[in-house]
Formats: sequence, structure tokens, C-alpha cells
Amino acid sequence: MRFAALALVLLSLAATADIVSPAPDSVRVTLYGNLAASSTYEEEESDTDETQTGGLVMVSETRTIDLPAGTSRIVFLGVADAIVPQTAGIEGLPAAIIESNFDYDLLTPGAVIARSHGERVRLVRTDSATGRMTDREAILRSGPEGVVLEIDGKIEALDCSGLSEKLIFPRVPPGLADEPRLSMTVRADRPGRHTVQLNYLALGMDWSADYVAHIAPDGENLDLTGWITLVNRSGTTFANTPAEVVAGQLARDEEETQPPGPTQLNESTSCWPIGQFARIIEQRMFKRANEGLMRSAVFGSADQYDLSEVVVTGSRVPFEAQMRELGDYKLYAVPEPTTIAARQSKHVSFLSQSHVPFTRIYMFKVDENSISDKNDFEPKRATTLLRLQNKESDGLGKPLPRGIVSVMEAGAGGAMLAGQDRLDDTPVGLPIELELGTAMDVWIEPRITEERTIEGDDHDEERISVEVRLGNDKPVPITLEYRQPAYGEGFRIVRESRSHSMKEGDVRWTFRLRPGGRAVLRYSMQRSD
Amino acid sequence: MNRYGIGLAVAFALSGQALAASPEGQRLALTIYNRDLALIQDVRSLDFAAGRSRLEFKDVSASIRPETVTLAATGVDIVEQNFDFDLLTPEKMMEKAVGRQVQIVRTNPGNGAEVTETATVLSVNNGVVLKIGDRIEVLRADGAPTRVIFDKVPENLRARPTLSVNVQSNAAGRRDATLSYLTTGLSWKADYVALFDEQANKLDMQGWVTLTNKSGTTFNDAVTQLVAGDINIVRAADDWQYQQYLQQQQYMQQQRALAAQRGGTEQGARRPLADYYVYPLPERTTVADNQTKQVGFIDAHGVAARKVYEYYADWFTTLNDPAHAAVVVRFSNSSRGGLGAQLPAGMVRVYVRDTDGKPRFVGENRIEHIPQGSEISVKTGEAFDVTVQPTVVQQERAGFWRSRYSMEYLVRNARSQATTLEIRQAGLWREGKVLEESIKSTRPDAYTLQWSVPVAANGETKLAFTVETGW
Repeated sequence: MRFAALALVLLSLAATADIVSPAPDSVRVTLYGNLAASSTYEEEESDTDETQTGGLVMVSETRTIDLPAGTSRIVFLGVADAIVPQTAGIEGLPAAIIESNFDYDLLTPGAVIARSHGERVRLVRTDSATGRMTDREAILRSGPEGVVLEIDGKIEALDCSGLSEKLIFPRVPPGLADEPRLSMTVRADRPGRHTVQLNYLALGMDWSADYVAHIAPDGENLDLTGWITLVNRSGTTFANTPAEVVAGQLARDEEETQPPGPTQLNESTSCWPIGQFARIIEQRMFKRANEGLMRSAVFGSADQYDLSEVVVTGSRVPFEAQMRELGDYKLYAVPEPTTIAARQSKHVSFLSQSHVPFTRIYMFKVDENSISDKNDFEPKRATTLLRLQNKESDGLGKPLPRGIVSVMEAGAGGAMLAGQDRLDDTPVGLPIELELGTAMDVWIEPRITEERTIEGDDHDEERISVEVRLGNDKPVPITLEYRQPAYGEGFRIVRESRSHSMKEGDVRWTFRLRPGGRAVLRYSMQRSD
Repeated sequence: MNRYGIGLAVAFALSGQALAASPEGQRLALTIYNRDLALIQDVRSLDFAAGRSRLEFKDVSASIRPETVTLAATGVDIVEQNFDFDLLTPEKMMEKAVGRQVQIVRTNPGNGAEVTETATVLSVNNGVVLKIGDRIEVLRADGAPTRVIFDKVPENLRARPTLSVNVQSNAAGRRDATLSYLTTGLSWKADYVALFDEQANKLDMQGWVTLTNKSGTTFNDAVTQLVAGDINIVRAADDWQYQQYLQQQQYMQQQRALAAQRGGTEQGARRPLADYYVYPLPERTTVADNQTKQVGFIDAHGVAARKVYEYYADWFTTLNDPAHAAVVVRFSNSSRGGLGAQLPAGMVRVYVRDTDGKPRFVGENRIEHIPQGSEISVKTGEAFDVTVQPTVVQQERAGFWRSRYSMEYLVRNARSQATTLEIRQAGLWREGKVLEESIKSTRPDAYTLQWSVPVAANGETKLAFTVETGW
């Protein structure tokens, strides 16, 4: 079918010479779709069937074109299947581009019928009892949503009799192709062989950054490794391809930058109502036939991608991806050309830092609604935080693309997961706080001891006094931070049992607690009522 | 039965005449608008009979808006126009056969023997009821294969929607007739490729018109022109697709806060059509069904452009995590700036050259129709290395219906070059004023303050200010 369709395309454009570029000489892909960047990361993770198209990728193909003088049409075969055609551009071709076309009028059973109205076809019926085949000439009168045929001047419908029937077409209607086709009509002054770059955007590939932090036995340092995972959800295999990923948040328009969806003509039987019994048999047969079709389907449709089909290849690459600047983003190049097969994921290391010092902090942020609940006597648990500085002097100092950090800690039975947190795009110089979860043995008991109104000249203020008991039941000394959000008009601390610091809109009190240590904090805050 | 047959034969003969004349000498002109609408002008040479005749046009757009059709030819008056969209399907054919006779061919599933009988269709409701001789049967109630043979295709059932025009011609002979109508399914927009050189503060801009045909029809060898501008189109209130389009437009306008630009002051070189701009395609072209076609219309080099970092705060808030600054590319489409063209609405995709000299995509954004001489800002994304952390230091009451806010913006730059961040702070209302500030502000409007905050390479700068405003 592929050859037939191609031959027709060649015939139908006899006016201009067609040059077919069958495949790129080489391809480079740059991935933009960082999975962690999308707010629906969890949804996508849990509901992979819904993942339709995948993230944005820029494909750069090197092709060799033998260009004649004059006007010719270059047909580019073998482009990525989820190409966004309006982004296609060519570099290095000394010719004027008259127009660029993307044809996605595909050769489907429905399209063949729709384009064959008035054509002579053959109707072949097979007798299920005797196996005898009858072959008659017919004229196609309508379809594909219910096919009506003219046979010997009389009118009959296809697939309504319960007989085994099929149509045979003498030819493929012109203009229908087996795959979407990108072409450019160009005009050149002189002939020549040219190496050109065909650049375009496509959908179908995602990447993510994942980090593993191993806490050293000393409890003060960690080893941080970073991995880039490339996932190809598309049906296109990129063989021996230099691959890059871009970290940072691009402005995107997911609605406009989309492969065009063809208006599919579906072949369907719209028959007159038939007897109940026959209908049930037909439905059964239809179902069976459909199941067979599904099994034999070699090509996947774009909306049937399934992550369970994604093959994971060797998870250890001896080389690290190298980072360089791309405008205001960070670009990581996979060290060697690689083959990214259809429905495959691939892992590459990009970061390996050992002996990164950190401090473990226990933190509690007060929520006034919850502490004002007089019936809630349960002690609150502190959150465990790992605090790092992304600075070279602090053992790190590397741009960190957003991703998920898994913190591993040595336990009695070997390494175990201490917690996971999401890291935002973190430039060099910024502090990092990773939340690991709630600590079992560090507790806080806040309660409101006084709430009253202080009347003023033109407005009233409210004063709230809080008493907090804090305790450390761990066998090691800890640092505990108690944070009170400073919100509300005229907010201020009017009395406190220990001096505070202000950071990021929070009032903070910090305690060092030895094993079994206890502390009490009392403070009063005032703000407009 | 007989009467029915004759009527059909006449219709076929007439349509044959019109169709035979149509393909040769057909000249098509397309005027395509932004909003899924096109005007088709179809000039064909037709051989008119004197007096009344009926013309069928089967090759018009499948998405035609039939109420907009006009046919004009010298010495020809339109009697009436019909648009038949009752499609020929087996089910429709059976419904039209109620009360008429059909042939029934039953195949014996055991031995394959065929028995042919004549039947009258009594009803088509939840099953076909037939009268065969004096028996009443349900078609295929026994599941045995049964063919139904009809004598003719019923009148008014067609394979595709068909336009027919009854005309009165004062003389016989071949003449040019112009058929014009509006159709949906054809639309266009602009796509721009901006290759930005940050070091040189220049960009190269290519503009492409992207034309999409999903009308169901191929337009061969047509003279095509594209109209930029939002023309007013009256749609039915229950046109849900249009309602969706409106909602989408509204949403997009909200999203486009950053793509603000200063209004244009120059007259473009384009040919204006009333209040719109027209882009004729340079050559006749075939617009195939299910096709996206691109034709270049701008190719400008060395347009003055610069990159700025922006941060916009619509209110006084504290962020626990730093926010990334927006990266915005600014340029002008005045002729002095090097571009000198009005820009129809579309997508701007920005690329930069990487160290290997090859372009890499860095972001995209929509623009509206932009008159020549405007300042254009395209947000390409967020800077990895330039961050802002806003903190409300103090919020106080400053009298009746007045508040005082002390803010701190900690700007960090992890790049190896010094840079400047433009911070815009909204939230000033009645009698808003600055009491203190660490950097002198400007006031783009009564409700907004703006600071240019310089930050050293690998450094940080703190912007602190106190404002008072009524509310």
C-alpha cells in the first residue's frame, strides 16, 4: 500500500519535480518536557492511560538533498510521528521556499469509500455454506457511513444482508497517503547537492530529574546523585541520536503547538433495523472480529500509549551528562549518541556529589486554627527537615533541575528510604530544605492562654498569648524550630520568653534540646482586630 | 413508482450537464479569515439552456453555509436555491421505501440456494416489517442472510450535501457564472520564528501564514488571500462551538498579561481591506483537505531586540520559596527597528543559537494583531538563575480605610554576569504613595510601581520599600 500511495502522489504532481528525502542522515533531539514541571505529575503517574501525547521535543535532522534548478517539491519521509508541522524550518538550502505543506489525508477504509463515489467497484460475496464466491460489478453510490451500491441498475446496501461481503476497489483514490507527509515547494537558481538541517518541534518525549541522597553514617554529610530519565512515549525510534534535555520553565502553548488531528472518516454500518436474533449474532461476530483486530494491530494509535509497555534499559551509564547554559536554561547533553526506541525509557547520571554537609532540623509551623481548638490535647509532631546550602563552599554549588529527591538512611537492615520531597529548579547559592516527614519522638504542645481585645482610639486590636511545651525523646541532641506566621495588619510580638528571628514572613524561635530535653516558650502577639 | 422514476431521471440528466461543465475553466478564489471562516468565489463556465433549468453543484465545500450562497451570471435569474443534506444511507433508503415494493433474496444457510420474492415495506420501526404475498414477516427475523434490492435511489437522498439552483436564463449558451458562499473549516493564523541573539541584541524574524483546511473539500489551483483582523460574525446563540471559542479567547486574554505592548503608530505597507489587512499568497495554490499549508510573509534580519527579566506582583504577599523571574524578549515592529510590518495574531516561537551554532527552542507565546510601530514583549519562560523572594515585613493600619505595607524583595542572581530585574508591584489603590524605598521607583500608572533592581554577578540585592494606600 505504501508504494501504491507514493506512486499516486508522484503522478498527481507531474507539474513539479518531486524529490523524496527518504530518511534523515542523522538526528539530534532536545527534550523540554520535564514531567516534574507539570502540576499534574501525580495524575500522570497514577493514570498513565490518560497520558496522550507526551512532552515537547525539538528534532534536528541532517538530510542530504539533490536539488535540481527550478521549482521542485521536497517530500520529507521519516519525520517524527507527532510532528507539529507549522514549526518545521530548514537551514542551509540555497532556494526560496514557496510553500510548505503537511498533508494528513490518510489512507483509511473510510477515506477510500468517501473518495470513490460514482466509481466502479466489485462486490464479492462468499457463501458461508458452500464457500462459493460471487463477484459482481457495482457502482459505489454513497458511504462510508452506510454504503449503498448500484448493481445492474438496482440498488442494494452493503453489510446489511448478513452475507459475507467485501468491496474490491480498482485503485487508491488520489491524494491519500499512508502517513502524514511534510513537503516543501522550493525554487532554486542552480542544481546542487546540499546538506540541510530540518528543524521542527514534536510531542512524545518527556524527561525527569531524580535525586538520591544517601546520608552518611556520621549523620552530617550526604552523597547526592542525580539521574535524568528520558521517556519516549511516541511511536518513533530515534537511533544513534545525540540527546539533550533542557531544565527550566519554558513558556508554552499546549493548545497551539499540537500535531493536527485529521478528521477521520470512519467506516460504519448504518443499516435498517434488523431482527433481534440476527442482531445478537452479528454483535458477537463483530466483537470477535474486533478483538482479532486489536491483537493484530501492529501500529499503535496515539491515544493508546501505555507506560507498562515502556521498556527500561540499562540504568547505569558510565558517563555523566554535561551541563551547559542555553539562554536562561540549563542544557544537559547525554555523553554519547544513544538509541531511544519507541516506548522506552533511559537513565543517565548527571550529578554525583559526595560529602555534602547538611543539618537536620525539626520544625513546627503553627496553625492558629488548630491550636485554638480547646478539645485537642494531642501533642503535635515536628517535621524533619534537611537543610543544605547549594554553594561550592558547602560541597555542592550545582544548578539542580526540579525533580524528586529520595533520601536514604542507613538502618539496622541496610539502607532504607527516610523520605521523599520535591525540589524546585534551584540555582547555585540558594538554600535547600527537604522535608522528610514527621518525626516520632519530637513533640510540641501549643495552647492559647489568653485572647483579648485591646481597644484603641480609632480601631481595636486583638492580643493572643501562647504557651508551648516542647520535648525531645530522641537519644540524640536536636535543633527544633518553632515558626509563627507573621500575618495580619499590624502584627507584632509584644512579649516573649526568648528572643526570635524573622525569616520569610515567619517569626522563628530556635531551641537546642538534649536527649530527653524539655523547654517552654511563652509569647504574646498583637494585630488589628 | 413510475412517477418517482421519471423525476429522478430528469434530476440526474441536469446535474450531469452542470457537472460536465464545471471542472474545466473553473477559477477559484479563497478569502480566508482568522475565525474559521472563508469566502469562496467559484467562477465556472456553464452552458445554460434557455428558460428554466436546474444546476447541481456537488463539488462545493462540504462545510458550506448554504444561506450565504449567491450565483451570478449575465442574463440569468435565480428562481430558487436548495441545499439538500439528506444523506443516502441504507437506513434512510429503507425508510423512504415504506409503502413501496422491494425484492427480497433469501439465502438458505444450509445449501446456499437463493429464493427471490417481491415484498412491500410496511414499516421501519425497531425492525423492518414486510408484506410478502399475504404473509407478514420481519426482515431477517430468522437470522438467515437476506438481501434487499431497491429499484432506485430515492429522490433527495445524496451521497454528500448538494447545492442545487433553479435558474431562468433568457438565452441558451455558455457563460461565466460566479458562485460565491461562506464556508467553515478553513482558517489561518500566523507563526513566527524569532532567532534571538542575546549578545548582539538582535533577532531574525520569519513570519509564516499557516492555513488549515478541514472543510472536507480540496480547493484546486486557487487564488488565495488571507484577511487579518477580527471581523464580527453573527452566530446562532446555540452555536456551542462558537461559545467555546469565545470562552477560550477570554481565557487567553487573561493569560496574556505579559504580552502587553505599546500601541502602534505606523501605517503598514499591507493592502488594507476596510479596517483589516490582506495577505495575498503570491501564487495560485491547491489547498487540499486535511492539509496545513505555510507560506512565508516576513523575513527580517537584524531587528533590534533585548532581553529583560521581569517580576510582577499583583499584591503584597510573602513567598516561602523563591520565584523565578520571567524572561521577556522585547522588540519593535517599527520600520526604524528593522522589522517594519504589522503582525497578524499568532504564535511567536523564540530560538537561540547554542554553542554548536545550531538553533534551540527557548519558548513560545501568543500575540494579538499588532499594528506597525508597536513595542512587543514576548515572555519566553522563567530564568533558572534569577530568583525573587518577596516578604511582607510589616503591614500596618494607617488610618481609616488605609494601610501601610513594608516589603522586601530579595533578588538573587546565580549568573556570571551582572543583570537587572524589573519588579512591578500592583496593589496601590486610592492615594497610594511611597514612604520609603531603597531604589528609586517609577510609576507606570496610578496603581503600579516599578523598580529596576541591579544585581551583581553571583550576587544578591534587597529591594525594600514602604508604601501607604487607601482601599
